[in-house]
Amino acid sequence: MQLQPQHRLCISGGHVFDPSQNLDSVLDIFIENERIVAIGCAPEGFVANTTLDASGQMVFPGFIDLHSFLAEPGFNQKGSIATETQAAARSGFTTICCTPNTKPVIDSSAVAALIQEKAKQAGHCSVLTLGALTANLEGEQLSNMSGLKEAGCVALSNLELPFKNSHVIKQCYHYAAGFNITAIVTPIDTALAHGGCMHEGPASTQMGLPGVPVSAETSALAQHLILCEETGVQLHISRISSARALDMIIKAQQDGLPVTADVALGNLVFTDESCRGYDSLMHVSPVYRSKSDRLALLDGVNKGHLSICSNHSPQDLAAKMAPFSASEAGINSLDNFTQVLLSLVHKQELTLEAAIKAVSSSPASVLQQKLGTIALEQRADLCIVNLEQAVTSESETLMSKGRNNPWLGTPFKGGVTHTINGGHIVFQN
Amino acid sequence: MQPMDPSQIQLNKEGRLKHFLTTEGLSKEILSEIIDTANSFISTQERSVKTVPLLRGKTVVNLFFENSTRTRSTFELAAKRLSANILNLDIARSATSKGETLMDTLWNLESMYSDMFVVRHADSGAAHFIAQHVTPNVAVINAGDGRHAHPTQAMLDMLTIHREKSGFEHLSVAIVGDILHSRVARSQIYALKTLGCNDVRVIGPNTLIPKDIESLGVRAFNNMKDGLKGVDVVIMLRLQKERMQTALLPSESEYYRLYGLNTEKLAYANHDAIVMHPGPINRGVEIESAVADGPQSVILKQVSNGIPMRMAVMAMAMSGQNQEQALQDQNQEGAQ
Repeated sequence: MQLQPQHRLCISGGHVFDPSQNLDSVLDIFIENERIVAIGCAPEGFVANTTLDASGQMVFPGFIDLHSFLAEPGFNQKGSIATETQAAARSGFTTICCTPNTKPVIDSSAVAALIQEKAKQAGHCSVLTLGALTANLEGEQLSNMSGLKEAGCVALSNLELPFKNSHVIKQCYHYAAGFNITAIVTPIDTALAHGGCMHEGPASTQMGLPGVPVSAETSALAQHLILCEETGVQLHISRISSARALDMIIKAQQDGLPVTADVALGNLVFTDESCRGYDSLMHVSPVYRSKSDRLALLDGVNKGHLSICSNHSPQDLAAKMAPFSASEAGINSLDNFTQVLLSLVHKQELTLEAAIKAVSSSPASVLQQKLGTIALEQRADLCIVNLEQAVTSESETLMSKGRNNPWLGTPFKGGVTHTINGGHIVFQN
Repeated sequence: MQPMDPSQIQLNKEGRLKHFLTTEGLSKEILSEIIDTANSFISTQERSVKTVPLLRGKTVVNLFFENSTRTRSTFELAAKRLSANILNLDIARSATSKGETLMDTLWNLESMYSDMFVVRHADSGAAHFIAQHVTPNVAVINAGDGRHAHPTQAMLDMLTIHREKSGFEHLSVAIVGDILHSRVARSQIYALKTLGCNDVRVIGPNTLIPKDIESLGVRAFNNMKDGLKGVDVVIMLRLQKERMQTALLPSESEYYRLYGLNTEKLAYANHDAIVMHPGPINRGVEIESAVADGPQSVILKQVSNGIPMRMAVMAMAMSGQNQEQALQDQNQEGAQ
């Protein structure tokens, strides 16, 4: 019997930074096949086939995204698994969660399997599927939760879509709790949102656009938290937008509820004031809220209460070439995620430690996956970043099919030079 | 990315009007110039030959994505009195209902070499969107976009106030009714504040007053007695009947009892206060006939001021576009 040739990679001289492991110094990392076999000194007899010189650069755990719309199957004009995972890899993501709002919806094991297979073929980034919490995401009938879990879905989500009534929510949580399934929800009371397309405040009043009041988020959140308490379901609150919602989540965590939460990157950058001028690229869901909400959310990340997700939502040109409220919500946020995240660090709005945690060890613990850290025997998912590299995105350089990117032409400092997924270099620049 | 200043898109490089999308952000000088220009057209309206050749050879397209007979007719008449060719497109019943996007419609119309679009659309920001995406040198006039702006209506109201009260500086103005859904109110507030009116009030129940309305520099009142006290101008807004069905208001009768303008409530205002209404009026809903047809009402004067005002903004925007084109041509020659 012939032994498989060993794949051995050494990343030398990089500044290894992983707050979850208290790593913050120049260290070599040794990888054999898909695992990290040593940090610091080479194991005896280790001869690398490939050595990556990372001197002068940062080595972070590979990033994990809790919310990416990959548009396949069903929305080929907007994106594909291959293009969107490539955009993710160039931003240092090694794992992304694919949202269930595909066509057909991820409410059967066949669709979950198809997506995982296509992602494997593309080979840019690991894709974990989020199954639908209700059949066809209609908020009425429970999905085949246990079957979806067996088919590899790491959690089940109803996105921001409405439930038929509160009894359905309770039953979903009750059922999921029995199978140790994490439920994900983005709290929005659609009646209170009342067709709004931006934060309700001075800007919406002056622009004459229907506003979404903060209460649309918080009143729905209160209901989800109470039902979480009653059923004991592991609940992840996805993409919160207001300071008040953050307060409620912190309080729930202090009360011992099994609740985690995240915020979309865009909500840490933009506010309702960014909507002036009616740029449809500022039309997103959940909406960008006030400056004080933005600052509170940044504080929530800095204090470790929130993970950060991309809320990536590629759109075709026609979907955005319309007046603000008539355009489809969402932005391509994967292509330059890391530059934007690091810009918040450069501006001292986020600490580097909090920023990295929020896209690695925190989302890994939300998903209860052994990922997102740089440790012995851990899967070698890493990204190498040059903090000083000047980068500017142009429409032609986007890897996602979505041209709906609000950062085109904006100069940034900090670029991903390598992404390593399971010991293999899947992106280099 | 910096949000674009929405008022700047309306001006050419020389600071002259080239689109007319909103009264927000325009200077006092420009608003006054609009009023003066409209005033000068009023005299031409009284002559037997009413046309002037300012838009001769130009093609104006009335693009109404929302039905409106009155506003569309006044734009049509204004364009004709400026000697323009006019094309009326009733889009509410044509192309877009067949699935054509707004952009497709515009590109088609541009291919017909139009010079000006007069746009009414149900989405706030639609006129900005069109102005940003039309080819250069096509002027866009906003004839009402969603809840955002109806600047020609607001300016004809300013013209009316100016003629009746000869100035804005010491006036108190109250706008009464459905502020939440009103593009007219927003445009009036911006215009009044810029023209120097320091006391602008809005009156209505909380459900019809948008959140943070104070950010526009106005005071909000829930009752007519306090709100109308000492005002010189009372602007009544039209109340859409469908508002009764969406948990905004209990009933027409309660609304009329609280906010319907009758002689008794009008007495809270100054004795020489004028009463305005953008029309069409709902008699017995927001205003009683004795007031609508009474001596303080200037509602019909507003209607006749509509045509000279629309002539004024069309002429000014076209002239701003022509100036910009001339500058571009000069620069091109200079470059060669």
